[in-house]
Amino acid sequence: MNRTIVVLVLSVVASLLLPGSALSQTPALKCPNTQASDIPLDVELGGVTLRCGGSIIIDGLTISSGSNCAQLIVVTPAHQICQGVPLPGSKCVPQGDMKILVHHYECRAEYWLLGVFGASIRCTPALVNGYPYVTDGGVVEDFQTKVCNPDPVSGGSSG
Amino acid sequence: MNERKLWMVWIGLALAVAAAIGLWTGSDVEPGIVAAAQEHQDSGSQAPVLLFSEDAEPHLRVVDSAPDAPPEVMPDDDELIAALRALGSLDEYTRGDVPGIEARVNKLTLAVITPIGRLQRAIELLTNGRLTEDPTLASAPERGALRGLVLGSLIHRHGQRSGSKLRAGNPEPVVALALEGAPTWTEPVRGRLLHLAEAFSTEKGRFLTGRHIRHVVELRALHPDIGPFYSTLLGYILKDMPKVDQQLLLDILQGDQEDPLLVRLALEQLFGQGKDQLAMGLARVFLTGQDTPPRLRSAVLKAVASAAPMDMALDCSQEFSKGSELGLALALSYRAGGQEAVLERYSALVMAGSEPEFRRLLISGVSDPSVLLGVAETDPEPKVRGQALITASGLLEFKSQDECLGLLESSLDLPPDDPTGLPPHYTAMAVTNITRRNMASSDPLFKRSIRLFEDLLERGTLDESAKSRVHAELDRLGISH
Repeated sequence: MNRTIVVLVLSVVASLLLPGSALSQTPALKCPNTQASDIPLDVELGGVTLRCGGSIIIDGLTISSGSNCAQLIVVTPAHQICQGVPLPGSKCVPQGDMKILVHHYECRAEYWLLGVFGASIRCTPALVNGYPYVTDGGVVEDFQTKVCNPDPVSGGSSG
Repeated sequence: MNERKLWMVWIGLALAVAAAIGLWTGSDVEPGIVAAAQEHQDSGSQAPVLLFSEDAEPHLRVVDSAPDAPPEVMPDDDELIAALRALGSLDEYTRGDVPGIEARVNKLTLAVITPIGRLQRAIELLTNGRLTEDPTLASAPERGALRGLVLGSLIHRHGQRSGSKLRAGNPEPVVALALEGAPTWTEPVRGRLLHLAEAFSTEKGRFLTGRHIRHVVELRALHPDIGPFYSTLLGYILKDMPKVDQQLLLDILQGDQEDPLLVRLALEQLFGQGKDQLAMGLARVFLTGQDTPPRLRSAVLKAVASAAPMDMALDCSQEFSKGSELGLALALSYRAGGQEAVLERYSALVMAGSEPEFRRLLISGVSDPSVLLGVAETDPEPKVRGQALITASGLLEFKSQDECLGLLESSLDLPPDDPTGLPPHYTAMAVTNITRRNMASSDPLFKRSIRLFEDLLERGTLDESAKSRVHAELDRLGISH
């Protein structure tokens, strides 16, 4: 009887302490059987769209020249998200944040004359202290696919 | 045989010999002329003559562009290529003697575009690769041909004007030839045409107008490998048109779902025409579809954000965004009345204590530094506060670096688990933005920024990628660490 009690107590203690035992996992999550989905690199024009340009007269006809100049170009890196796409034995888990870059542009009168072909005022990277101004715009959360831990009880897998 | 019949035989023989001699000398001297004449007869119109013969060496060619006009002499190909090179070699941006430059531009342009058969030949040379020198770059003759094409189309469309040196012709066959030849061009040449087609215009419009829609759509279907090229041209046309036919828009939305650019333009047009319910209904189909590709989904969201009525745009963004689409935030904020509507929605959400991810997105597009610094002090969510400081510190006209650094410094003084703190990698990004602006190492703001970087590294709270970004930033600034 005493021996039975000791075995029971030891088994309970062991179940609480040993890694991989059912009770040591708090809580035991079921494997979601999903994978991360790819989101490609994205380049988006934003902010105020300026029109940099001038005009030229050819054969007596006035031709406007110029180009649209978005003040901001936002570059979001390729990353992965969780969309619940199924994959047996896998889970979609966070991998950390990636940064979004913002490139700043402006119309700049590099040459004072009317443009011959293009624009007299050019859409160019905005300069701060002589360098193109590129800033961090924020973060995008990145995910990855991981194999679920094997479940020793059922032979299946858990999250 | 009587005497009269004998005379007729002699005359017949003489005519046959004369015809044989004429044919022999004609084909030997100038095969191009014969080819041109045949082509012209077949065309049955006053359209420019296609002067192209693969076999014959090009020499002087005769163009008959008007029934009673004297024939015009075409340069040979080498001469034309030299003219294209001269036109293509002009700097895009220049300065100096204005009248002199304008006179040169006029001379070089007219040398290529008039008569129109010359321009047509230039496009043929472009299309058959004769002008290509390096497939990775647009050569000077290629640039010249494209400049001639775009400027020539604009000028010829205005017809014969008094005092003009131009012999006006119909540019549309040349435009068609160029559109059809584009698949054989190199990628840089196609890119160059996209630039020029958008850049130049007259009061009659750009290089392509509504009349070219159908042709461009057909070519896009025919050449899916360069679909984006034709889509971009189509986009230029649609953007210029005040009201595009609804059926065409619906065709695009039905048939071109692989093309995010066109779907976005079509939806924006529908919203612009006041067909809000129809456009929103279609947008929802895309947004709720399980198989909608990410780029298409993103394009639909941006179309709604930039063109739907403001409340509808905000509701849709709130429902379908994931919190980090900065482009979407900018589309919402920078449209007319957008900033006010965005801040109103933000205030309602912060009062309700809900949607922190959407609040972060809204704040990422705001451009008012005082509002952003206010949000950085008051929003209960650390990520929203951090985003406000990243956005503020990245503004080109930001003047409150001192205040911004103060907030970042005080957040670092808090215990790591303090809910009023900031995520350390957000702090690192805001500091990075500030150091990008203050490059002088003697600047007190610069010194405070470096101290913040060093403090962040010492605390060990940055994840590996954020830590390596801080190290890279310190390296860039020449700071040993």
